[in-house]
Amino acid sequence: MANLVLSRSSIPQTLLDAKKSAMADFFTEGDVAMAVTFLAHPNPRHNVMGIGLGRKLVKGKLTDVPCVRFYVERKLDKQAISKEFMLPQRIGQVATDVIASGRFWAYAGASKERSRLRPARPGCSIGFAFTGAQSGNIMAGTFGAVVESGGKRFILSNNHVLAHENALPLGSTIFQPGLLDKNTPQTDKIGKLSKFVTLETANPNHVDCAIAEILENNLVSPTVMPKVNKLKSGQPVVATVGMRVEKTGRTTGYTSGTIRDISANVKVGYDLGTLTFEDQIIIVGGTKSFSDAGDSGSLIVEQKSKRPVGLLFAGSDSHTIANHIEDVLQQLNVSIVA
Amino acid sequence: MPKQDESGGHDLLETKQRLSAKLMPLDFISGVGIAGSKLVVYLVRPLEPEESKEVREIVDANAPGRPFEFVTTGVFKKK
Repeated sequence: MANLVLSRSSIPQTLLDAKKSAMADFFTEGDVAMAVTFLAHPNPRHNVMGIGLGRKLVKGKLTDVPCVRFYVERKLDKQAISKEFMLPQRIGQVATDVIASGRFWAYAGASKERSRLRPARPGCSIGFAFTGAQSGNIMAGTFGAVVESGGKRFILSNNHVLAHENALPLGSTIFQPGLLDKNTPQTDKIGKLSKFVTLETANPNHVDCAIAEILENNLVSPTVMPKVNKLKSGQPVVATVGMRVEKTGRTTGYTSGTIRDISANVKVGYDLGTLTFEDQIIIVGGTKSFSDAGDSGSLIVEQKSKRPVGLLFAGSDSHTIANHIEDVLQQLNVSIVA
Repeated sequence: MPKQDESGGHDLLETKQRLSAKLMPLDFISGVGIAGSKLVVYLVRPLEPEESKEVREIVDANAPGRPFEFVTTGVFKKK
């Protein structure tokens, strides 16, 4: 039975020094924020949620070995991590332990938008599974709307949420919730990638959009999550400067804001590089930011008419960027189900 | 599909496109847009005096007499 006693007043200096070193090397607030909101990554700088001190666990039992404890969002298969990204087995003379703690939240629990929902509704978490060299990464974006074409129903979101920036083949499985929110791919399949508009690196883009055919129609409902709720019509309304808009998204839930620009040309950072988008909508939030990472794919709705106006895909801390929804529907040749 | 703004029409859209071609290659520019009848130059960060002068000269040359404003947005990224 383990009997080493560790208290805050009796921590050996070697342990404190090892923890300090681990904090400097593997933990930064900015990186953690990114991992929490959008993507888990094999690079420990993007996966470590916390660092502490305790006794090493071996096969689920506490030992007498004092150690630095790395709390990670999830343990990744060793084969998915290159050597340079492996957490060290020792820091100086001090042993380490890696504990899968999940994400730490400010006592809020998992939001409804990040949960598994059947029927799934626009506003909830959705996403794809990484393949190839990126296997092990997990992500989530937002289910924007139910759309239809030729008697079939589809989930509308962004290319970068459903098709991994042009990388996935048609037919790839789509999950609800996105695997970042509940990593159970066996039970959470909801659709298959059907069509996307290619993101261009050398020419200007107008849309970042894709659709996934729903596996069974009763798996989804077109009613947007609160407080947007049911659309009055799926017919788009033309964006105008000063228009009051709202959305429900996977990360920030329900937010409202105001359209500030209806024809912006912008540069947007992607994994593919910096892409140019022309003729975009720019929105600013009311008392808080209109969106954050993971809200991509959200349908933006005019508050007054309850009709769709944009598809959220990018932004900064202060400004949100959306495609004109009529451009999205035209390019994909679909219509929104209200 | 280009959108016609509420006040300036296609002339303003053409001006924005012309200005955009000149300004977008600059590192500290995040975008160029239209708010009502005004052009908007979006910035990655507040400009140094010489950068501001450079942008104003480009605007004056490509959109003479057009009102415009700077808005600092930070870097845009996919969300």
